Amino acid sequence: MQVEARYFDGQSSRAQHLLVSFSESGLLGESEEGIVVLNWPFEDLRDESNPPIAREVNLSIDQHSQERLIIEDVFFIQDLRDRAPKLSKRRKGPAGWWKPVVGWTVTGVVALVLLFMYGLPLLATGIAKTLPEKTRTSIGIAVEQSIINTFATRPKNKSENSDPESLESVCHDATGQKALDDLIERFIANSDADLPPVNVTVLKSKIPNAFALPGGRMVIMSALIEMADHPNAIASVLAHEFGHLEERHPMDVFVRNVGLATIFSVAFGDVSGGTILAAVGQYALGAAYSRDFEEAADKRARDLFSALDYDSRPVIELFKKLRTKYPESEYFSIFSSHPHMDERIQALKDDPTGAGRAFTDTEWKAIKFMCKEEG
Amino acid sequence: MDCQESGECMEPFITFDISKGALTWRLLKNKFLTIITLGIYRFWGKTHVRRMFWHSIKVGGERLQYHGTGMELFLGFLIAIAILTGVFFVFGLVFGLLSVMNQTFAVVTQLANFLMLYAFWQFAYFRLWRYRLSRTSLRTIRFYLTGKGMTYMGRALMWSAITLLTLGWAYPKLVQVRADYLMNNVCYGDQSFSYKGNAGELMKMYWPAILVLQLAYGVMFYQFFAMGIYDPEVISGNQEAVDELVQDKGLLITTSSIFMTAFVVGTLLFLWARVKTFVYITNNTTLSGARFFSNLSVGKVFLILFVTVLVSALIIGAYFGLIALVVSGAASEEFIGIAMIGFFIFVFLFMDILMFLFVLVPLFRAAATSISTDNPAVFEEVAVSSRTSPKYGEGLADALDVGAF
Repeated sequence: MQVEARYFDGQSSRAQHLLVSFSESGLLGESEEGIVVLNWPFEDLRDESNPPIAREVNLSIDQHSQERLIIEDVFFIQDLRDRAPKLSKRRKGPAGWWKPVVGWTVTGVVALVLLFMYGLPLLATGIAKTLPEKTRTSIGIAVEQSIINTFATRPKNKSENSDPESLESVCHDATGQKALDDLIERFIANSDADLPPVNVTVLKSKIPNAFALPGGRMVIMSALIEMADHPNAIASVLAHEFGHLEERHPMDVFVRNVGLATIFSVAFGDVSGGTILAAVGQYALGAAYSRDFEEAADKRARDLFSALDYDSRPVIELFKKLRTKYPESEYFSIFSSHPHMDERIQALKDDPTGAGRAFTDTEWKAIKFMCKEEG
Repeated sequence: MDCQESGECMEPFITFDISKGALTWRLLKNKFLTIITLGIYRFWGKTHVRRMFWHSIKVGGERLQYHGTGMELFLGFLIAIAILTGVFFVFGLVFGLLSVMNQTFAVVTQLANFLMLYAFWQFAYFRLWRYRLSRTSLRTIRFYLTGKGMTYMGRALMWSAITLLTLGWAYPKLVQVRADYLMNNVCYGDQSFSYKGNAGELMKMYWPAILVLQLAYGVMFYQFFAMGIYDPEVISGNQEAVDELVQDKGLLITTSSIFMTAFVVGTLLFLWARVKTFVYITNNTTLSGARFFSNLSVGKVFLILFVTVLVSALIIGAYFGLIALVVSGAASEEFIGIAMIGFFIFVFLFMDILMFLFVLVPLFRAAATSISTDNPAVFEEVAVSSRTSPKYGEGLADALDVGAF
């Protein structure tokens, strides 16, 4: 069987029309004058069309050669597929192709690690420390407002867009609020930090949590207060958040998160998979950063309690309750932004701070009652 | 002149025949693998799609071949990451701290940030074409792009700035400068393409669009500065500010309708000019004396783009339909929740695939098959050139994601 084929010698774009046939060991191509132009062994033949094209093969003979032979005869191709064993295999890359891959992967990873470990913290702390007070406060208020809107249990069937300031989710009770403010005053008296006016907001919510926000703002959720059996447990939480404020952690975290988001979105492109990767990475790294901060805040809380001669152990009970309610998963501990609960409890046991109570009984009752007016 | 004007002596020589089924399957596979590999697969996925695309194009009866690999793109990406993180970080640190110390620097930082991205984009665009051309062969002979990305970037930046200063009137010159540098650097084997066009001819296509868009932006600025329509107080729904604005209802309606009309008309005129530009550049390009001619019609392009508008309208319609269901309370909250999630997943997963299949492929087909030449044999007598091709993938281009494929 002899069929027509187009042959390119790899040196010019001119096609030579050949008549190809099978020899015993390979493919034979002859010019119209009968001169043998090529004799390609079956073993070395590869089809360069990827994905393969049904009625066409684009044959090559060697990795370094640009010669190509194009055959479009269906029956001949069928026959050829039987004879050439490696037709649909792909050629190996040139030797050492992996070297630049390894080199640049390492460079890329090192650049990112350096950036995350030293670059971004340096930038974030720098910005957090130098940002004007006004800007910090306005960022803090904005974040607080969004937290109020997100977490607070809203009375049902009420207008969705009522003024957030008047929302019943913020607990207003003069006595309880004064007790909290007084405790903060005592913390300030024991602090050397240059602080903005500190503002504590108690929020009605089913989620037991507390945050420190930029611009000297703190939020404590009612569920946490309800869960606490001892005034010092809540005082400990406030001391911890106060520690964050002293170190300007909230602004630092805010800047870092913005930075992380920027880097990840540049690095992984605006594609679906990349976005997921960016979100996961940002979350894990963000948590890793804040774990250092949490340890620092814990230490600061212990120092404050020592200075004021308060007993910090009651918070252990609160931690234990939280742990029962929200067990920590071993596998996802990398995402946990707080130090391991056991470590925190151990640190509190090892390092007793004092014996006193942070709130009087009257104060504690008022605090406990802050969010309960409506039952 | 002669028969080129009418295209009578011209023969079509490009065909584009892609299997939509295979392409759809490939795009779905890419999407799935990209998600489960957290984005890393996209370089290989892109390469697969390009191979299919290139192979589907026949020039004078022979298929284009794509020689790029996913690994090259991946490497280019890594290199870009290493460089970009460094550059952006140092830049971010310096300007970030400056703007923290002085508020006016914040504006400068924004501008500098934008300028840097724009400059990178221009550079990346040139490099992207250099990579793609150097990985393309026809009849075993490679294409490539000579010239320098920095030169291209410099010229594009200069004329972009002048365009901004002249409120758009230098835009045809910007188009001309970019086309001139790109097209005159495209080579095929030992032959090079030559483009001879001038900004004056392009101006004839763009002046209506520039004029109408100027009117649109003029009205917008008037609303912005004289009427305060984009005042943050108004946008956040402050009743007093809104009342004050609505006082002069007639003026508000008049200016807004002028803006909308001018904007839509201007955009259509601009698209018209873009299509005409493609035809103009094709008609003024030669390869070893062979001339090219395109009969791409504006109507055809508009028809394809109309699909985009239609699909977008359907999606926006579906979204508002769901909102209407919520407001009217016609469906249970759970149903709405699930429907909303399903809706976003659908848009997120399939929108780009739909756009690729129903906009990009038809547009490409229309443009490619519109071209004809007076000498189809010009591609058949070219010798190989010893030019070296770029080693790694598209680098910056890929990191900034400017590629359509």
